[in-house]
Amino acid sequence: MKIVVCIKQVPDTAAIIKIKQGSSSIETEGVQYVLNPYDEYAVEEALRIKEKIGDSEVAVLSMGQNRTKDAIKTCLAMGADKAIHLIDDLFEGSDSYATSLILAKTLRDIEYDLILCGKQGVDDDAAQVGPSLAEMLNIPHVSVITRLDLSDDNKKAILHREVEDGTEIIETSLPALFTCQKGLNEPRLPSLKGIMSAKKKEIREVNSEALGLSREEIGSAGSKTEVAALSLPPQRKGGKIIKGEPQESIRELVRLLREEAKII
Amino acid sequence: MIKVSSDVVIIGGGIVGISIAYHLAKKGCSNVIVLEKERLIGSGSTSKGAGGIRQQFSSEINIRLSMESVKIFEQLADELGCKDLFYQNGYLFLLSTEEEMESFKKNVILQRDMGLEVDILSPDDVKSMIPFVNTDDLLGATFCGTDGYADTDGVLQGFAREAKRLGVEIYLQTEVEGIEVKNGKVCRIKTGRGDIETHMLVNAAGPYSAIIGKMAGIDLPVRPFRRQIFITEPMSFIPDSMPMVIDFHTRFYCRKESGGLLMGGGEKKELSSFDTNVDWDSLEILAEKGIHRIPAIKDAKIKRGWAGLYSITPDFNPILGRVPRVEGFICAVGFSGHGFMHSPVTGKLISELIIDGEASTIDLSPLSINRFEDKDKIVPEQNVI
Repeated sequence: MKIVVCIKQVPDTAAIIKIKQGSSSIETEGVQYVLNPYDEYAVEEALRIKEKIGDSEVAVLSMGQNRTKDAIKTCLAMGADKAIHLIDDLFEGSDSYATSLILAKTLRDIEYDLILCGKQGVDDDAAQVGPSLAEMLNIPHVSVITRLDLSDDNKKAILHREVEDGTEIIETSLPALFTCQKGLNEPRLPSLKGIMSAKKKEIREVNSEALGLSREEIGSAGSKTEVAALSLPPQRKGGKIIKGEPQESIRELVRLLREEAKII
Repeated sequence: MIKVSSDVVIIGGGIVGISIAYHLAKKGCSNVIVLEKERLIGSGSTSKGAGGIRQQFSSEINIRLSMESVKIFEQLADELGCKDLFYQNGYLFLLSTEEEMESFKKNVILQRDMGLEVDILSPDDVKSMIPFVNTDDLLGATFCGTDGYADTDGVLQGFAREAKRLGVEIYLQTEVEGIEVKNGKVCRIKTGRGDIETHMLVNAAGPYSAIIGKMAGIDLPVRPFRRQIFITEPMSFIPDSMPMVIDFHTRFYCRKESGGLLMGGGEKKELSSFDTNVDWDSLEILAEKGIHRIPAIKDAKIKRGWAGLYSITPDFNPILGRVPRVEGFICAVGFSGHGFMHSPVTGKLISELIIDGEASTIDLSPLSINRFEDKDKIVPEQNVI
């Protein structure tokens, strides 16, 4: 089975984010970048399928600047077989739509049975690229999966996804695209041996020209959306302790919830 | 509100600044302010180090700084009222060439002359000490059993707690924006939260110390360089007694941490920068060096890694003491990776300098900034990891 995993490098969730003065982007200096945590589930699931059914190949696909190689190498060290790095200054500024288009163009020339993505990138939390990519490729997709089983002949997949008050179970034919949610598996850590073997694995660089994409179709020019502004969430105010007898303090609590917090 | 004046203002709430604050207060000078630009003390290089403490250096001054620091580390848990801060598991330097053997034997003579107990070991001795080390290409090793490593955060928090109890003020998220010098004397520190009048400033800003120096018109030859550490998942074959192991030829080093190994020394050559991103190339270099020296770690999983900054001077020795032309400006900078291990004695020395007018525990003149005036006279420390 040929499995493609789409991954993204994102700022570490522990990073303290600062917004660039007068801009709709963040200060990148001093920010640590990591493999998007939801993409780790996707890579792990691909590796487990390969280990279970054998005779498979796991290819990693990522778009980004030079530093993205570190995220790609993490996947190769975990056990992925090869990678494609979409790298081009013209790709910068692409929104979910333009990104999906670039990925779709790339995948048109690649053989695949299954595409796995994280359910969303933890940087912009858009959760768009997976489903858009599937639409552009005209293949079925199921988002936010927590379990993936293959039929005996590996032609179909049975997916679980958590919905309100229950689990939705969906069967689909392959090729298809699934986006992965926490709970699907426990991603492995790269071993020293894995890190050494990743050195020898192929990372193919592809630019816009190779994909036949023009300047107008990609980057901010090819984007359908624009970030108008970026702001940090308001600083959390200190808590309030209401003292006194329960009957009175509860009355006060209700009053505050109604008049100050305005949530009841 | 922050105080508008203070006897001493220390710039930098890392281990060096906090140790100085503690030692000043302990010696009776507690009208002291520590300024830290981040949200927590020690969030720069202090929290990124390996916590190693060794006395095996090539120069007399570094051996002296370490031996005096070890004396303080040995009774620190009692002094600060905490437990298990210092693990004296020793430092084992593995040597692979004749040249390294010669140079280390020379160091051992100096170290023994100064009263340090150091052993020269054969590859077989190394094998019996740590059976999982590959000794095939080793010619020998040196071992000092009173070296070791300490809990960096425990020491930092212990110093800070006692300093505060004695009256020291530590201001977080308070970045220094300028230093006012009048008639050749420090008179005011400008911060993001207001000005502080003082006639005594201690620059303990680690990798940022050259920036602080510049604010007072002083050129400090201290440059930041990235260094990285990686931690493996627990492995059953590592004994609690494992010393810090330094493969001197490759600069790979490791010690036990949380049941696994803490490893470093996989740096590629790079220019000075404030970059603290973990760099994959370095991890590849580290993996190769590590697997060569300890083959059993090839299946070890890397749990996490981080990067911090060394503050490097041209001779890899710190700059301690006063500076010419600006009165009231004291340096405790440029530790070149040895800031944590030398922080106790640095606190003691700077407190002596400020309160008594002169440092008495160790003569500070070899560490004066004046040594860089004559470039031919600089003798670099050889044992830098």
